Amino acid sequence: MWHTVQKTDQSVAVPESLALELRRGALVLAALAALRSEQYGYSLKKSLAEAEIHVDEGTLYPLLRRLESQELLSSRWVIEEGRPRRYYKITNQGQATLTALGAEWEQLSKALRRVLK
Amino acid sequence: MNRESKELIGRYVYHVGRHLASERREDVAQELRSLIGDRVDDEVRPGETEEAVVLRVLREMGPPPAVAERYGYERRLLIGTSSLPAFFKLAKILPVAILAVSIVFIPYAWRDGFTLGSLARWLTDYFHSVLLNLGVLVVVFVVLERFSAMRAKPEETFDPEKLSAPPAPMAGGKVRPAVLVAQIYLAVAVFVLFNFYPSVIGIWTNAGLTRFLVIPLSAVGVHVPLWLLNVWLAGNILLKTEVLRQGTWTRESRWTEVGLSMLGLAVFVGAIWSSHLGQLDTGFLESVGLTPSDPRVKALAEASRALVLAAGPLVLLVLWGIAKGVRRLLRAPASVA
Repeated sequence: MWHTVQKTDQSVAVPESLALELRRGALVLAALAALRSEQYGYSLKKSLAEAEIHVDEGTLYPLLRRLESQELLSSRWVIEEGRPRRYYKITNQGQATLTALGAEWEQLSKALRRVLK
Repeated sequence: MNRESKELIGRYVYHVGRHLASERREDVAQELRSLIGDRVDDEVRPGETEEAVVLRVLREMGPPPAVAERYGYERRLLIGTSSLPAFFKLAKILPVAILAVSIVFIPYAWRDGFTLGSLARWLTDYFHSVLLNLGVLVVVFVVLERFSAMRAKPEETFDPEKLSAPPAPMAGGKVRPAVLVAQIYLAVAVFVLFNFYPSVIGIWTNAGLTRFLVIPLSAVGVHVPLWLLNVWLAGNILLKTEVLRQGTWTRESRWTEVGLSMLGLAVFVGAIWSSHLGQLDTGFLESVGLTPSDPRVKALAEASRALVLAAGPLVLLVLWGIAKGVRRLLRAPASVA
């Protein structure tokens, strides 16, 4: 799969793997930030999509489990509309990580902007 | 959600679960069902049937092995995460089992009396056996992993409608992976022993001789029909591998198990029946410097006859196990699903 991105005045095909690699780190940050309020997987996917962060569930759900195993998220099952849903929420440790990662992101973002000029 | 949609989702989730470690299979399955249900509710278009939406969502999610891989199933590992729990269980059991066997051999290991040297040799042999068997265990799991990978269909053939239905689980169908893998391991070990090292199978004794001696089964008149034994072992290995892959016992696999038990019993009874117990091989006796009149030879002949007496209760025990299995199969409901 290839993504088409705009670079100056011409379209350039970027391999999906490179785009994924670039987004992967940012996705952890986005998920932690979005889970400051409790959400289940699908609602999180939709709220990220509304923020124009498109992620397929095959990436998002395993990521949530990984973050939970790292104790950055906690989860609980809730029966809603006759369907069990797993709700995730950031933990205190996750909040501290989010703050640290956010600062890191700001620094990296500024540095990249300088490099890309 | 209608029955057809639930069935399609059930099949998909089952096929994802087959590639996951049993510990998290149910949890992931529940989450996938929830996710697919949410997507179907959310993405239904006017005029589109529910089944059509389910099929579209499943196609978009991709082939079950790919979904499972994202949940941690890594084919790059020598042993996949689906097999790792069973591997670690066995790897923990193995040193204890070998220790138990090694303790049995203490009288031989310390036959010249207990010294620090004999203790060191015993410990060295023990660690050597543990390492060797761990190596064999790794090889068995790697072969199972490759076997499973070879059976995986390429992604482009994925069609959620063509996914096979989960096997109908039966009451008491819960699989204990550690037990199954231990049985596969044992079957492979027996296969290797009988086919490649038959000379070490027999009565182990020092019999007053200067060296530790293995009296092969054939030398005491026992003949094992090798091809039949191999068929039985191969059948057991295939059955247990398949049950591990399916993650549950089904009526079919339980009936196959009963059939294999009967074949195993036939192999055992056939071996005893065709044997000439008590008739020691004179060529072998000469090779170890024993004459037929030697009292130790008479004792060996008696020992080989004792095998017949020992075989009786064992045959009864296996028969009782078979009868119990058949009774359970005839009485148990076909499915608990």
